Amino acid sequence: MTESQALNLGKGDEVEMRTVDLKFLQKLSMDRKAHLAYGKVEDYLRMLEKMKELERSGEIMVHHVGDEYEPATVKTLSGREKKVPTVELWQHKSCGQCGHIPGYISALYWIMAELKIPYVDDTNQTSCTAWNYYGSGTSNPVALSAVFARNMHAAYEKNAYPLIHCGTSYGDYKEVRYLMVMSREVRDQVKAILKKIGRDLVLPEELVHYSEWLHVKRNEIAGRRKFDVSNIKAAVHAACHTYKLMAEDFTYDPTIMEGRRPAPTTSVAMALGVDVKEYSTWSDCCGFGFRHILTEREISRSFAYFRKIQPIVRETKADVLLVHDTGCVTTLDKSQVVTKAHGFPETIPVVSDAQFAALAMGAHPFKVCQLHWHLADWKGLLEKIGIDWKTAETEYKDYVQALKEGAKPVYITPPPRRLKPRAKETFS
Amino acid sequence: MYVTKSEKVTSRLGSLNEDGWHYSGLPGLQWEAENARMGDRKVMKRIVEEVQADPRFEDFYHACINCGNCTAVCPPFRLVDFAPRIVVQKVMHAKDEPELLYQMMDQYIWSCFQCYSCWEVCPAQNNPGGLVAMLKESAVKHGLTSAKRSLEPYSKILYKVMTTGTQITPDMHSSNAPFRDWGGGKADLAKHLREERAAVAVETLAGTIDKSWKVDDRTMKELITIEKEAGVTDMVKQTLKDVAEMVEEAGEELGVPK
Ligand code: SF4
Ligand code: SF4
Repeated sequence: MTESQALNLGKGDEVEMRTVDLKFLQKLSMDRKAHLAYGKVEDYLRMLEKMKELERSGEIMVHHVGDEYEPATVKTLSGREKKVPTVELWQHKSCGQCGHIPGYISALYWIMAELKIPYVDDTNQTSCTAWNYYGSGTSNPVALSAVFARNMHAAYEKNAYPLIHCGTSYGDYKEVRYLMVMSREVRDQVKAILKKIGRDLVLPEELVHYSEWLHVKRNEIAGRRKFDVSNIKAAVHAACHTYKLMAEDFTYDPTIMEGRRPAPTTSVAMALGVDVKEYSTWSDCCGFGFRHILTEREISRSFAYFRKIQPIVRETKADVLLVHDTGCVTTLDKSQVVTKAHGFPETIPVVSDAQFAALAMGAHPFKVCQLHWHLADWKGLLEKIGIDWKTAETEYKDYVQALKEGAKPVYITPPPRRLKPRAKETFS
Repeated sequence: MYVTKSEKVTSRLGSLNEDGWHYSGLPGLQWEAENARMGDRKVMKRIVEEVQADPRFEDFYHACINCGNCTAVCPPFRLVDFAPRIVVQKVMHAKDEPELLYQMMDQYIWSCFQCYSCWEVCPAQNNPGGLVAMLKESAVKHGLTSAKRSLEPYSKILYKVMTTGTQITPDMHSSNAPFRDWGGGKADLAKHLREERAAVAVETLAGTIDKSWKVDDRTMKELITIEKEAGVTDMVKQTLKDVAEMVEEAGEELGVPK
């Protein structure tokens, strides 16, 4: 019998198609997106050329992904090959992760420490501040560009390559790099501000999201798994700001869902042996909306639950929802509380790809993955993986008690760096 | 002590949005025609000129063929009265009818999630979400009432981002507002926040309560300098004066002249 699938046309309408035809249709639309109607690709490639010209003329400096960063190569939507640095990374933390889902960052650092990857976790870093721009219109392109440039210069001084944790920072930085290269007016204004804070304009050759790093490291990660997770079914939600905001530069791979979806996150789950399920609202946003999740929560929550959580659970019966952005983790996880109180039964644990990979590699669910900050019930997932969460919880509580009594905290520590910082910072 | 918290910042935050946390209502449900009628036509025209002269404009707007692809994928369209096609259409006609744009800036645009789903699917390569971002910025700069109303409940976040570059900091997880609807588990966590925070295995995060991670003073000084020089502080002053003044105060303490 030929396998067939329903294509959701919205508002309850569906057409039944052979799966092979549906995949062909989606692939065709991806190709169109990259090469025909969506002609932004040419502009993006032109911008990259112009960046080289500006470097040659001495107007800007470029932070290259040189051999010292041991780059891997990926293909992007534009068809261009992009270099992904794999070592000596400057961790660009996310304002949305660190305050209330710390496992997003600690799981990533733990994986890197396990793989002996040197990195820098700098206190001389601000977020991209685009939260204020997208959320409330309280920034402007010059300020955003200058914030981007100051962070990139701080990384350059440390001789470490920026790895961006947040989908929005990654999207915003793609936007403002484009703007700074293409607009002399913006560039000149930014340079004047940088001068005031004692910094130079150094643009990164590649902008890299952490999920792309996990993607290129997936086989190494899979090789170190401690638990067999082949019995786990997962759904993936990709963040809009990684693959819709300046869509041209995110990673696609023909071997991952035939290149119909962005490769990162899905590829990591597949490498670990997880059964990744598709669902009809795959391309929908999580419902975050920046200001909305704080001050117009009903819109954010309703969208997250009825367009993502409910269809995901009903259609895929997945054990876990894997994401790669801090806002998406927050929205998809937290939006399940009120709906549960209203009697909606569908629920699914939400973790980042790094948290899931770390769990499979044997990371502590609380000391490292910090699952106690997540609200949707994760106990069933841990039990299915084979993790004894009750013992782990006791260990964690003992650790917290010991800290209260004055014990020395245990931090994740990367191996020593091989690259030396470039210069002393001058601004005081 | 394994927990650090700035008393000054805490007291400043306490004075913003004093009654805890209130909601700004459902944007997009009102079409503020009355306000537009009362608006200053000179300001309306200036807004149109500024938007069209902006370096982003030629990338974000081409011409709209009214196909509605953008609206079909727009999340808020499913829940409130908001459609990106309308936004682009009004931008298209803004030169001749600036009051149409102004009217829309007064509330309607604040529904946008800035997800950029629309940008990805527009056959004319318009960026409706990008245009909305420009219009929100303009609404703040010109101190529109709707911007004030939309942003007031958001003032703590605004202040945190502008001064520390971080937000949703642990000290905002009180056991009641603003995260009451995140359930009992979160409230429990909030009760033991200091211990939980101290047990985070990342040194730059561990024990930090009033920021998301430890941020150097000189870093905050650079950030506040950038906001001042790029005109952000002045822009915010038009809409949320108290926040902008607090940012200036925080800057002065770090050595940024007013
Ligand atoms: S998708 Fe583009 S062309 Fe179509 S209505 Fe929206 S803005 Fe206009
Ligand atoms: S960016 Fe705004 S207008 Fe565009 S799809 Fe998202 S919510 Fe709708």
